[in-house]
Amino acid sequence: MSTTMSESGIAVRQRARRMVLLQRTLGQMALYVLVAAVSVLFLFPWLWLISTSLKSPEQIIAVPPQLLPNPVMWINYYYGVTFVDFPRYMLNTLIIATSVMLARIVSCTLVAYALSIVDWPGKPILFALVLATMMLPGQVTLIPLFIIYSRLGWVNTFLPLTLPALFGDAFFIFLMRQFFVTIPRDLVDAARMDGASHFDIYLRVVMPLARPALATLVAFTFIWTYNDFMGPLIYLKDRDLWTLSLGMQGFTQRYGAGGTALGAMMAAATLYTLPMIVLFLAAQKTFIRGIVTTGLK
Amino acid sequence: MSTPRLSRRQLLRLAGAGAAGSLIAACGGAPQGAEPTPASEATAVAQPTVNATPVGPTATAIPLPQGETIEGFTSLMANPSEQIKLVYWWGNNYEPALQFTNEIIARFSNAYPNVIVEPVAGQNCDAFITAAAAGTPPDLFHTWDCVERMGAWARRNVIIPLDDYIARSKFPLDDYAPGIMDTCRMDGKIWGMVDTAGVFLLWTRPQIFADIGKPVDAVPQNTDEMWQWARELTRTDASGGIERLGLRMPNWLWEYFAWIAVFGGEIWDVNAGEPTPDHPGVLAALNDLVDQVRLYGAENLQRWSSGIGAGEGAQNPWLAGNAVMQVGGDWTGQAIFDFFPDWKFGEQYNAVAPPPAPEGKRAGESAIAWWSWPWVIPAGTRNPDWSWELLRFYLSTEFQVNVHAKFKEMLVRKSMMNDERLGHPWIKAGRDIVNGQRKLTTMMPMNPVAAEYSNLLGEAIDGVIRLNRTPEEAMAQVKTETMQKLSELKG
Repeated sequence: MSTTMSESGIAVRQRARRMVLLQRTLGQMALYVLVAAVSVLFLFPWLWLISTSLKSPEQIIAVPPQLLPNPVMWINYYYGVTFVDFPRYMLNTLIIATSVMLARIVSCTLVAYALSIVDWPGKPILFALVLATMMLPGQVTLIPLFIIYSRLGWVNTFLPLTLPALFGDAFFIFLMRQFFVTIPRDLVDAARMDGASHFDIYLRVVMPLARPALATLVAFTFIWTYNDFMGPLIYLKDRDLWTLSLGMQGFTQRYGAGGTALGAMMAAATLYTLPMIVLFLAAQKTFIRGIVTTGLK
Repeated sequence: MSTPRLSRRQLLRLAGAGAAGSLIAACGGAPQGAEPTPASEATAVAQPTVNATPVGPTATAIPLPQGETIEGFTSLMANPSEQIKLVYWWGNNYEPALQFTNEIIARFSNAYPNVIVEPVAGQNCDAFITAAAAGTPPDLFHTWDCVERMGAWARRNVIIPLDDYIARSKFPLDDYAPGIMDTCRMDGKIWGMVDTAGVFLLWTRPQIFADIGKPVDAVPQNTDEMWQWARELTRTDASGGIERLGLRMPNWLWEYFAWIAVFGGEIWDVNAGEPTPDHPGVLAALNDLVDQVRLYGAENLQRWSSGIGAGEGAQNPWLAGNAVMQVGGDWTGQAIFDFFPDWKFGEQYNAVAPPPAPEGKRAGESAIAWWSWPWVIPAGTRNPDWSWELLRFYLSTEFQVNVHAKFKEMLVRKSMMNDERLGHPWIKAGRDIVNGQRKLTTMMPMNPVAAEYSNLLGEAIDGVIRLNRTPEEAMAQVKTETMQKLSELKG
């Protein structure tokens, strides 16, 4: 009898546990379905881009629209990279984006370190001045900067697009400074006690801890520089120096018999987005942690 | 049992492999037999063969005529003793166009071996004004989409007047079709030279006319008749949603201008130097549009437009057979050539002059709108004399006919527009209009506030055809705001 009672008690407990497990699983499933549905919503334009990049011209304009290309036109990718000098433009873009990224890592973190870790008179005023430069829209400085770079003989080179990054950027200085102030002061003081110089502390203590914020800086800098149209348009005249954003413009201009390049344009656009997607996936966790930590997006 | 998960590293590897595969596939050359297939049925109505050969960078040079003479061009300057480089900016960035045009441009050096022309493509208004402000403008600039800014540039001495050059070189201004140079005249001076023009035509799908018992060569005699046909040709579904529209409504500024022109509307008083958005013809045209919008329902039209797309490319609803008629620029013909090269003029498509508004509805003479793309010489260029010489070369038969025949565009010079090399049917239709009796108007003559005024007009008319405001209210506001901008300029 007692055995039966105990068995039935176990059975009830097991059933209850199964119910809880089932409820939890169902809840998670519902959550996944919801997340998947939202993901599809956000991914759809990109999926459509890929789908269009593999369609023939008549499939592209077909009504009602077809999601799946049939036949699959891989040739669009051939035209996509040969219609304009895609490899060269991609190389130029990567050279500029990588240079700016590296320059900003150095310049912005050094300034942010000085504005957060080092105590010196006038620091708040200078920080406010740095922030004030963010209020200036790009259009205001476009012509004065062009005049300066033009007189320096930098027009039609990568210099006006890369070298200024060595002088920092208010937004990223702010971003890094906000992160640096969250680093426990004790770590810095301990390093000082061990005889570390400011540069040692910057390099060996602060920078290793700042990976999430650095990832944000890297991702934003890369994406903004990679997509920049106005800067290259103003400064780069020689087609051999053009970036992808300028090259891609050629696809959108139908002058004479050019409209058939729609599939090729979408193929090029797909390849154009790849480096940014790879970068995001590679640094996804760190990137999101950086956004969470600094409160920026 | 754990479910096998794709790690980030694996995902990246896969992405990398995919990208590499795509690039290898792309760089591996065109696979044999991989040419896009002919079109199947694109729509229930249209069964066109889509021009499926993608255009690669394979422009063919037209060889120079024997003896290397440049057609229609006589040198007026001596070849310089030292090499001169002229920088030419233009907005186009379409690879085959660049290659072909650059080859024609290079022929300038046949006349002047020591003058090298460096064409720089893809340069827009912002790039131009930045370089001009910095004192480093190009030697010659094709205004492309900046024609409305020419007035402001002239007032700010960004470009120079060309009257002296025109007089000195005895350039025959009267060779231009009447009125087309209005986009270059301001303050009694000429600030640019028109390259080519776009004329607005009524494009029809004549085979669909059979649905309402009309022959393929039927042409509506006035706008009322056109609307009547449009209503009969419109097809709706059971819920009243539009499936096919008889006439696509105008939906951007130049199309609005084309519509206003057929009602005799004028948006600028050249003598007074003032905007006239409240001109009776403008209001008549807009009210006529509003009547039609009410008939179909603004939301219904919006739904149709957003569902079908209203672009100028392959998605253009008229090309796709979702609209039977449209008033559009002659560039629609280029789209036909691109996407439906098998279409025959007079069968699958037709292009005629937009019909005039009926006598009682219009205010003044019904006109046909056209638009121009001029060249300008920037102030501050190092060699203005050479800039003009290069511009003269661009105005020669050598450049004009070869380039515009290649790109199927209209010419605006009487001595060239009938050239047989410009033989595309829609170009002939446009040419017939230019040579015909109907008045032509550029609608927006050169003026210092043309860009701002155009923006205001575009926004206001958008609001009108969405039935947010009456034409009278909207145009009164446009007039007030434009007059304010004018007085700011004068002050």
